[in-house]
Amino acid sequence: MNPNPSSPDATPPRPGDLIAELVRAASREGRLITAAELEAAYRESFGPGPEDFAAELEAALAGHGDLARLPGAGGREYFHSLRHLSATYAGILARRGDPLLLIAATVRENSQLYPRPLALDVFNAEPFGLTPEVIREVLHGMHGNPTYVDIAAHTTTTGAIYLYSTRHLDHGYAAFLAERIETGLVDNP
Amino acid sequence: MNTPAKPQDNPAGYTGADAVVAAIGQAGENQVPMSVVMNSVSHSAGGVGGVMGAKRLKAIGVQGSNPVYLAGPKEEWEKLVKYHLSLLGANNQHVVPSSPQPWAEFYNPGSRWVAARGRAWEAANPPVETGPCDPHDLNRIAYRTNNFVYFLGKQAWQYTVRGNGCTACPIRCHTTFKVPSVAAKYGIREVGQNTCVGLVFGRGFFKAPGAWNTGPAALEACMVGLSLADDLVVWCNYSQLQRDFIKLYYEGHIKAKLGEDEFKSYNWEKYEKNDPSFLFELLPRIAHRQGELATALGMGTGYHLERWGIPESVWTEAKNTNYWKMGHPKHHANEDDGQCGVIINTMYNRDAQNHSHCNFVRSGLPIQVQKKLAAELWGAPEAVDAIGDYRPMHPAKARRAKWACLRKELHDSLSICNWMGPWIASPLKERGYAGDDTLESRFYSLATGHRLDRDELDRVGERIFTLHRALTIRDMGTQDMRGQHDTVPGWVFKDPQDLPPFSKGTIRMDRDDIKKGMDLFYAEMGWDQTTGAPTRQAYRRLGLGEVAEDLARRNLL
Repeated sequence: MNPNPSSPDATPPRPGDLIAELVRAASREGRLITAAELEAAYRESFGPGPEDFAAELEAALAGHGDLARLPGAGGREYFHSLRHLSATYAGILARRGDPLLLIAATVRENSQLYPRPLALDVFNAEPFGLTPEVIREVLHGMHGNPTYVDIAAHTTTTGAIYLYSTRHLDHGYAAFLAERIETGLVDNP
Repeated sequence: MNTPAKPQDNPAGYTGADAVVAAIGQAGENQVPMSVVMNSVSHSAGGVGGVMGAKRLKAIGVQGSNPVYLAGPKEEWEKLVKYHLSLLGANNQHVVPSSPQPWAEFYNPGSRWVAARGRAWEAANPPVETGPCDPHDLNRIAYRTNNFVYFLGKQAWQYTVRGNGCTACPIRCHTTFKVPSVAAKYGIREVGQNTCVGLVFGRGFFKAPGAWNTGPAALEACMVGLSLADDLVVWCNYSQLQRDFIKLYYEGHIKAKLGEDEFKSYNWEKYEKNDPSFLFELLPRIAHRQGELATALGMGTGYHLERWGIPESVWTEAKNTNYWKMGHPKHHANEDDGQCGVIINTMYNRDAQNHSHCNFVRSGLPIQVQKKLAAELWGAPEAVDAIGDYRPMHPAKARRAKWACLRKELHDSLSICNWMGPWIASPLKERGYAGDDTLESRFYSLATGHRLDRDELDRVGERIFTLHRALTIRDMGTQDMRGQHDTVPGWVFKDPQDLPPFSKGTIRMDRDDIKKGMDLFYAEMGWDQTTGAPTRQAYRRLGLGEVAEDLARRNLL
């Protein structure tokens, strides 16, 4: 982006650069932005802008390595800057509109990557921000649904419920890890 | 002087407010072995209070007004310090936050990096928001850790006043907290400060269900416990005192060994109800050697078991004791780090106090990232396993165990914190989460002007470690370290569900594999495979030829 747009010799900023700055600004505020929101913000800030906004958006994505797109709940598409919002955090935000998908995707990711089961109360806190009622509904919705047949639960000796994906963790290992997280770590300082 | 005031308060009156004081308390004055020396409210060193008491040495005060002189250029030092800060995580070098943060690719609910937007030191006036703590913001490092919350759960935010810790350290692993209700209820100070086992000192005496440990009663038990421990200056031996007490009571040893009058002098009903006020009955008696129970507990596990005629094997076979050998517990052994943890725990005659290895495996990074870093440092990804998914012994594990021991010795000798270092992982994605294994040698070289690279300084650590080994051989009067010192308790080879070693979900080790592990470790150290004692060649290689000759004269080489 041109650091000094008022200079008579300055090159006017290209639409792609301005779009990139709008994506970054949203990410700095901790939120994702859709193409429609970008276009509206662009026109509000910089005037009519390019006729083919979608093409300029593609150019911005190609020309700015920190920009990323990701699919979200309900078929929506979001954009964010990796400088300010990691792919992990952005993924959580993108799925917040679909608690079932959010919990399942997060559980699968944790089971595969670290690997570990995840306590239900993780989903109460930010950035998930789900209420206990919604979480209960999600668990009920998963029950018997073939899409989520791999999501399983384990209750620890402290009464905490942990979720894991059987695609990546078997029950015995998930139970061991849940108990370790729940009691083992704090008893082993 | 038996005073209920904090021990360091009165000596400071003699030395002036600008002095730093390390003092013993009532337990030390009464020469109780389970006593500590304390400094700056909550910093304690175990087991030496009674030694100072025997010498009638109440406290040591240090006063100074001159700067610390550096051999190297100040600018270089500043640059190195800034670089070091950029690689820091939270306490124990946990390099990922406990909950998803905008900047973070990874998170781990078990991390001590508990700061987040919406989480605040609520007992501060006004409350202080900890925030997301982007690792590039070096002015937010001190907000990352809150060990009061880590050990006592979310309830602890409302009582948190601030982070505290050692002078100049940005990590602030000691937390200061204010719990007003305990002042009226128990007659103790409402403000406390501590970390780790000092923080949970009181809670540990009670055999309570897991969920109790992060509830309000546990919080009160912690407040009572740390208040009494600070006043009496009793040592817990990494919570072995508490585990011993629970086992001795619930398995009937206490009732069997005490006279009826003494047994009835304790309110056991109160104890079984997990009432923290029970600690007022027990802990002062330990500090004053009052009665058989308190006297025996104050001696430490080894002497206690001997005094009561309980075979040590009863403790070494029981996982719930966490007992290792020679009176000491395990300290991050197989439950955290498989064979590396076991090898490290065999090497000392107190709990290992070694965090070089477990800071890495508990960093919070995914196992594949850990394996990548391990391959770079120790030559193979097999140097580290996922927790509870241990694989057979590998030479790279022996290299890592050796590295962990040498770094611990270096840290102790250089006054570098082994609860934080070494720094082989970092929170920085742009570095592939790599830390820097050369930091210690760079600091040492700049500070002293004696330039040593990483390997050269590690060799100094090896010399210290080997000299330590020689002292153990001399004082035990035997070369047979493998048979008589480097022992592994039976519980390491058991599983409550009888899962076999190397199956997922067990910390059970295999006896032959551990033997192989010790073989590989001794080979890395250049020690004799049969005895586990350093060879003459190993001593000479490290410039310890005279030590070898001295041991030879004693028939110990």
